[in-house]
Amino acid sequence: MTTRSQLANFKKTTDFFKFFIVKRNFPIAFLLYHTVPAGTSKDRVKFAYYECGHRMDVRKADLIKAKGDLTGIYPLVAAAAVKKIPAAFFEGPSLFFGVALRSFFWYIMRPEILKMKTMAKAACQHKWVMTNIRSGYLVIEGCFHCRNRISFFSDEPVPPIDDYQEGEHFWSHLADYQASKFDLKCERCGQEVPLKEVMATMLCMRCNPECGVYQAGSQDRDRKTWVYVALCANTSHATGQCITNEGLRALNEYFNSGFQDPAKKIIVVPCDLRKSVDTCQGIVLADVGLTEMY
Amino acid sequence: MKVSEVVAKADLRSFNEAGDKDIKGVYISDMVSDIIGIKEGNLLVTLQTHKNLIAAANLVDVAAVVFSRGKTPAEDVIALASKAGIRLLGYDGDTWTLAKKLYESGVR
Repeated sequence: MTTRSQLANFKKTTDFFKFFIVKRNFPIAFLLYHTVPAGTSKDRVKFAYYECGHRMDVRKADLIKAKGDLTGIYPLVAAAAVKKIPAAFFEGPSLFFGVALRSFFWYIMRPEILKMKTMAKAACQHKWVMTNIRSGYLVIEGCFHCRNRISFFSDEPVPPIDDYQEGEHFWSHLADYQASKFDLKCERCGQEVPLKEVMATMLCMRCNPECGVYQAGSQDRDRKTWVYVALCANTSHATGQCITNEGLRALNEYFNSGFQDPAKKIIVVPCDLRKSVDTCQGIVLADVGLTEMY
Repeated sequence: MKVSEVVAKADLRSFNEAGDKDIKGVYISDMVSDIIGIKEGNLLVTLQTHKNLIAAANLVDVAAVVFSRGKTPAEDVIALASKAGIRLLGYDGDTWTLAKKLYESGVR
């Protein structure tokens, strides 16, 4: 079984590189000089970049990142260990036995590997980008029986406008707006956060001090805080569900990255904080009045 | 390049005096659903003067908004943009001519 060790910066490169060595007892200078970037051990060497160099103690962000990078080594170690088992062991007359053994190994190791991957992703300082961007329509429907309203995203070329019955509900088309949906993906760790329950976003206009959305923006008065509401499909929240915490966290991190004004802050909150859908004066970010995509 | 530099070079009209941010690029679009995905620091060129455009521009932290073809935003739109620190500018010509002028002014 290979081991890993975190070593100090290599003097012949810059002060900002840290190298992880998966095999022990190899001098750094020899390994780096003879095997990096090409060489048989290339898949055993992992490079990581830290702005503080080897002085993790002066920059907490790099400490957190280093922890994530270290724990991310474990799946590689496990995979390397599996590769070492001779292929012949899994072939020939004992193929069934070999497959069973391999399956058993992964059955035992997989939870640990998944746990390590989760820990690595949890330690990552995510850099979110939009992914799976699709254009379509935000369709609003109302039930004349219960007076409830729902919304959904349709990616059809023409938005559906038919009336239909669904259980006790009689849904009628109220409006549709051109909109786009997206998910978020971290460029660093690859984690994807689906935002399928997010129908649109809305800027809070601070119309009602008793509203939970208004209060969410009143807590940080030293900064230029703007509250945006992530709207889900069912304004009644009859199922008790709204935007997921994971989605909200990712949206907040995404929209708060890269501001030129350090005092500016965006807070994204779920729509179940709204006091009233009917009296809300928020501005929905949707293209009003456009009915055709092409 | 700062917004104030572009205003002078491209001879743009100013509706408010909010902020002087760095321009990192230009984005031309008239649809709010399209603007949500752009990166921060863009100079947004548009025909749409609706308030929800300012809401979207604030979310993605644009450097400024230029309304082409002589479009003029309403007072409440200007007030919202000023509160958000977004400079609103105007240009009388069409979007294509404005785009060429911005490029010739050095905006990349």
